[in-house]
Amino acid sequence: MDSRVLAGIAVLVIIVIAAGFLMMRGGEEAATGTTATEAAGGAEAGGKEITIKVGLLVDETGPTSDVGKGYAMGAEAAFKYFNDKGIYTKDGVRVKIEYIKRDYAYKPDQAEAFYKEFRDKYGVIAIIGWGTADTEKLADTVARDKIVYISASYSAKLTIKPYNFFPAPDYSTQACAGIAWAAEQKPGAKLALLYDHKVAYSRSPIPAIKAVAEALGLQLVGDFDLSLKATEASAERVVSDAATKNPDVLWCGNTISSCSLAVKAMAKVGLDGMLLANVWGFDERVVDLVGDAGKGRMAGVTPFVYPMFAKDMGAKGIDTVMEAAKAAGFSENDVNLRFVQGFLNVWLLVQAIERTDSTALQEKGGEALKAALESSCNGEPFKFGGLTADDVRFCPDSHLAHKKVYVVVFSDAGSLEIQGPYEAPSQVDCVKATIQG
Amino acid sequence: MPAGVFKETYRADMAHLRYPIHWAGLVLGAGLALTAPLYLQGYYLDQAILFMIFLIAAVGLNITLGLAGLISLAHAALMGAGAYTVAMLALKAGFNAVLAIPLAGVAAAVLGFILSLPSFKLKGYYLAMASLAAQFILEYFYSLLAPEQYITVPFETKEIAGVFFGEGVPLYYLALAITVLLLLAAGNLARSSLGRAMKAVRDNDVAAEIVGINVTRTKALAFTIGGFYAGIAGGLYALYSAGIGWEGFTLLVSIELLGMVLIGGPGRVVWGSMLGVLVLKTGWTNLESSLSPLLMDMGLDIIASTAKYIVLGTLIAVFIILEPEGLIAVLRRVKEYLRLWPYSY
Repeated sequence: MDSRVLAGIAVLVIIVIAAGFLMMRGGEEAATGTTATEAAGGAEAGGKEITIKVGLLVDETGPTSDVGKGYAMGAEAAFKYFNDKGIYTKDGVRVKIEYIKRDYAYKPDQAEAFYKEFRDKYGVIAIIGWGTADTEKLADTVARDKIVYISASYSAKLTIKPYNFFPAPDYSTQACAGIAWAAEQKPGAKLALLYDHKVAYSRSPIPAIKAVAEALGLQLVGDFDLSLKATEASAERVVSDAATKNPDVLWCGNTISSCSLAVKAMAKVGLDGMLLANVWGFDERVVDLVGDAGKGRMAGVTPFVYPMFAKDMGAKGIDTVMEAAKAAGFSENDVNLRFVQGFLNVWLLVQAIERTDSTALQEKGGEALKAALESSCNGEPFKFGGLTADDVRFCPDSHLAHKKVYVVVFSDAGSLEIQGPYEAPSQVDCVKATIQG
Repeated sequence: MPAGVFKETYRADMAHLRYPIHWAGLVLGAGLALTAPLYLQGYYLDQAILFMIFLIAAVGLNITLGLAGLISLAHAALMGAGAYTVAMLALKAGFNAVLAIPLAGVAAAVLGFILSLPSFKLKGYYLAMASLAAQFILEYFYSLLAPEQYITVPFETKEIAGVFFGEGVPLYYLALAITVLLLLAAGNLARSSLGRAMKAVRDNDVAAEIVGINVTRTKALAFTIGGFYAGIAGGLYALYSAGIGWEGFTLLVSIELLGMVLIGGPGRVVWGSMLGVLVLKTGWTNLESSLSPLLMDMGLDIIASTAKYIVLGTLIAVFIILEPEGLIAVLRRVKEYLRLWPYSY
């Protein structure tokens, strides 16, 4: 045999042996890599202070940046505030959170790349995340890696994932409560659905809405594809299509930019219905964004109290948010619903840390945080000074925090009015309806 | 040619390893590649895997574009065909994702052949436009396949005999083995009669036809082989990723791949592609992770989000105007300079 062929075979054998050896070694490394001391990222228990690393994944430049910027501001203010104030475990050890922020511009693949960076480069034990597609896509991976993932996505599919949490009802439960409110206002109404058919977030509550609409006697007149990146012209075209069905209620499942354009288009084409928006499709800014076109024509569901209503509703949690905002250099005007949403996600993480002990946090990392979050199932619920529509509990088999939402209405007088809280109707299991598709 | 090295046969002259430095390079390269899991931490090992995936895709495009001169703006869509083949087989049929990778290559090769049909009649910008249309059609088709923006590839389908090939050391070695095989094949293809036919078609298709080259067959093969490489890369990507979606295979990814080939060295199938991927994928990813937060802290969010495309566009323009042969030509000049240094010739 040619000596070069022999040399080739020898090289192949060496490759196989080396690969086998390193794969076994890699397996051992992976096993030890999930231990809490490493995962907790440079613990210093002796000095009575532990540093944990947390990833912050946001969209500040992508198609959901219209709501993502405020969320990121709230989350960052919360990290700074709680770090300065001091976070203490049950056994009195101070915990410092070192957060690593990445803007993934709402690209699921980029989110995964950043997730791997968080996990492998920084050894985070928790992530404050963002969108639906990326959070759902990573749900099984975070469970495998035992990393707690608190997202801005309230997808129903996440309520059954072991390491995914959020301090609100899922989109489907929220939408069901909202549709029930609309059915009360306009019994037997014709319902049209406007949402981006290519976006997981927008699609998420649709099966539940269809199920609850049928149960409540609403007449579904069609699904219309309103892009998340809609322009005035494209929104007008979609709304004109919907107007041919003469709907009384329109569900908008997108974010505030496209939902606002849809309401403007309704006024332009003379469609006299009520547009009810998902939580990310409506906030304080609609008054300026929509103007007269929205008066008496627009409402939004929200599981959180808007800062502008907090004082009157006795939601003292807003004082904490304001204090944090001020300390981080933000003005009162910067504190809106989005800011609160980002803040509360970090606050939930902080409360979970306060329910763990330092040994568990160091040794078990995300696993300890999950146990702390689920301790609320039969124990003390998580409270946020009245900023959530109800107290928050997570059970091991369901991370559905609660079932209540408020509805904020853009009144005929041009002001925002908060109503509720309303609970999702019991006739339909909205979470199940979405999960089963 | 280095002094003191003589080749007396055609075979010796055409060998991959002709000079002592080649042998030294092989030993060093193989050593580094084989022992990478020892010195690369999890994140960087992950980067190495991604590098190999994109290298395979870039080599495929370099065969189609660099060797045969056929502009394709649908290479990411071909990658998508491979990724979706693996994902759908794993999800719907319970097929093992690792074993489905060759099928990913075949599926994308068939699609590559179909994409080659317009090249029989079109060339240059017109062919680019046809491939652009194909890219958009396939993107739309993928969005119908995964309306939720992603399809997860179940973990259990990524295992063989209890070894999980979805990440880490096992995936690294799997990707390494596939990459080495495909690079060897691509290196040899460039030196084979088919490779020479492709170059002839690239340089002047009329002249190539006159000397007896079957231009139609050559173009079809260039697209088909390029598609096969893209499919294998896509299949590996489906293994690497928690889930795949149409947004991972958009026109922007096609342009990135094009940039890798143009900047690395069109026609230099192995080394040119390698340099291009090293600069535009691995290098950029690492630069971006430190550059973007810095720009955002400075309040330059818009620049942070568009920096990649500004850099990509600038690099492509610079190389097309100043160095059409790519980075590989720059390196060759540096090598020649060092070989003669301190003398000028």
